[in-house]
Amino acid sequence: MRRAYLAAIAVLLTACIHGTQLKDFRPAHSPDGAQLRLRLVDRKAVSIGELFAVDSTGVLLFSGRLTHVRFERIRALDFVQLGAPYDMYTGRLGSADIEHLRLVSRFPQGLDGPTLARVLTALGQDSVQEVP
Amino acid sequence: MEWRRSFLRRLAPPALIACSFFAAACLHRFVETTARVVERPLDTSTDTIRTPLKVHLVDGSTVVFEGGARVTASRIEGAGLRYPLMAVVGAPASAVPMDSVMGVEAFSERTNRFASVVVSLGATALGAVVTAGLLVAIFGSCPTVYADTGTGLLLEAEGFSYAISPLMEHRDLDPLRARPGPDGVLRLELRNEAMETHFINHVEIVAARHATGTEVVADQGGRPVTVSGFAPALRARDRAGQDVMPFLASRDGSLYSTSPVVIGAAREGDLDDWIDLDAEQLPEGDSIAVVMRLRNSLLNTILLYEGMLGGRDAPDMLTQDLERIAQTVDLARWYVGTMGMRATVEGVPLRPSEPFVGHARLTDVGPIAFRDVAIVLPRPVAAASRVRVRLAFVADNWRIDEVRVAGVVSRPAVTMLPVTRVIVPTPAQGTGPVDDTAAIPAIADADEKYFETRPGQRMTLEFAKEAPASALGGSDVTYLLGWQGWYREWLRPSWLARPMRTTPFVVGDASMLTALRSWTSQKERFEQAFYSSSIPVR
Repeated sequence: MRRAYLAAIAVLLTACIHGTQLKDFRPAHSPDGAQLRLRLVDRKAVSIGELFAVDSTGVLLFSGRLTHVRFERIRALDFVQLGAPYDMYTGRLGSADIEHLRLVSRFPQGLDGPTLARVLTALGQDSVQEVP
Repeated sequence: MEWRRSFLRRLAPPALIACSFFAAACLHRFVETTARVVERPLDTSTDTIRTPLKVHLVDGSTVVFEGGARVTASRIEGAGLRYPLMAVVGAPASAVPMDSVMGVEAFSERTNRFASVVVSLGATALGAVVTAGLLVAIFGSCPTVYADTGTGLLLEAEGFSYAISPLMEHRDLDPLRARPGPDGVLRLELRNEAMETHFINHVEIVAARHATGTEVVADQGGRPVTVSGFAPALRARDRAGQDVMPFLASRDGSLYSTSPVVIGAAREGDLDDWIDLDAEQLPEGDSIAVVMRLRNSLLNTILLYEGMLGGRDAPDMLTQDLERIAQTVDLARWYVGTMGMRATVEGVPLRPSEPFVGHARLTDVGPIAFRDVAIVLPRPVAAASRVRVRLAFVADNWRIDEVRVAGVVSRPAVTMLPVTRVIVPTPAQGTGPVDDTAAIPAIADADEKYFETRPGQRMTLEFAKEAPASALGGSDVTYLLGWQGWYREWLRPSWLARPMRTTPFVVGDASMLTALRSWTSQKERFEQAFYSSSIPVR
């Protein structure tokens, strides 16, 4: 009987969960920013990388190299682990959307000055690469 | 007594496990993880946060308190790990002085309780009925609008059907039966009755003034058009050669649908049915309008659910493929050339077009609400009193209640009435009704701001009062709902557990033909399940 209770509890725990649970969301448990997929204007390829920071002109994305992508270059973006509310279609990013982005980045406080210089040194880069 | 105990002991374990399986099959929990800024306490109070906390320090390092922390005005305490800038391994840290902190954010998980309960109940109720692999609520396609027309709330319109990705966002114009109340205010109830997130960009009322005896509907371009001078003599034959006027003569609920003969003959490269209209005794003019009351069948819905989203690649299809411009353009080109309704006028030269759209094309309007529309077309010669029009479409894609041909076509004077109030009768938290003031700027213009709704939500929209009739001219007024947006389908577990296709979805006639065959084989059952499975609103 006790085993049946345990089995019942185990089965109940398998009820379908849709969306990303807190325990599975890496940025909540590490310094990492959210993983982001970017689709750029006039390009078929999708850029996938870690969201480092957001500034007034665009996003800093790390995918082997730290790159800066201006908002107007982004056609669409979505987060790998977050649901639809975080998926955005740009050209239409509002302040609330940018705040969403900022909060799940590695450096929500922004990345510039001496901190940016140290990050670039750690990554072996001279400067941030601007995506044309 | 002993035998009963023994019996129960033997029966209980399998029963318990069986019940658990049943419950597990029906419990769906919709969660999302969010981040928020944690403010520094200003006084001596302590803020205890029990979810993960991330502290960003002035020197670029990060301290993660996975189990939460106590936040005071002077320090943050808890069991944390401190990660130097760009480090992947952290060192234990139990306290962080507030003067070294640049910012703090807390992460939490949120359950959409209402959707979870609704989907769980919906899954249980439908599971016994539906056998087509669509176990969870299948009522799909877009927001719906209801209005009190004097006999209770009636369905008035469905918006931006089949706009399942942001690239497919579009605007609809739906004529309404609703009228302003005694206080001069027009009210509509906006609902999300589907397993979808709706992204509504713009909502307004277009008030069109026109002369008595004329009607205002939306044309194929989504603009209001005034029509009158209807041909007194009209004949209609379908591709099978049948006289279909009995179905089309009046709006009586007797609907035209494609003959089984035509459906059976459909093949790749020739999927069409058509209706040839012969209108006579038209008043003078240089154009005509084919005025119809119609909606789509569920063929499109089958194509969407079983075809596009019917495989295990559905998540990629929704989140990647349909946001890629090239793929969406391919889909759109095929869709424009195949779906909808293409109208051609005999005797009027056709300009070559790729894809072929005839002289005019009406886009699909969705399977839920009937819409009054007009396809405005040229006449073969000015003032021709007889016109033959062919309406061509994929077999069984439409349900048509009424068709007329108008000989007088003009544009009405219109006034735009913006949304002035959004009232939520039963909010998720607290008691209602409450005004959703944030929703108004989101839907005031077609811009970057969207009003997002979830399954089960409803709200009343109030629109600005119209200016006095004398200022606008015309003796009658027709109200049309202009709205724009897109929606995201929620993936159903059954789509992934029991895929309807195992090979990639390929845009084209073959996929359409597969959908047509599937639709034909389960029409009645699917319609019954679809139209009875809308998500209840709160």
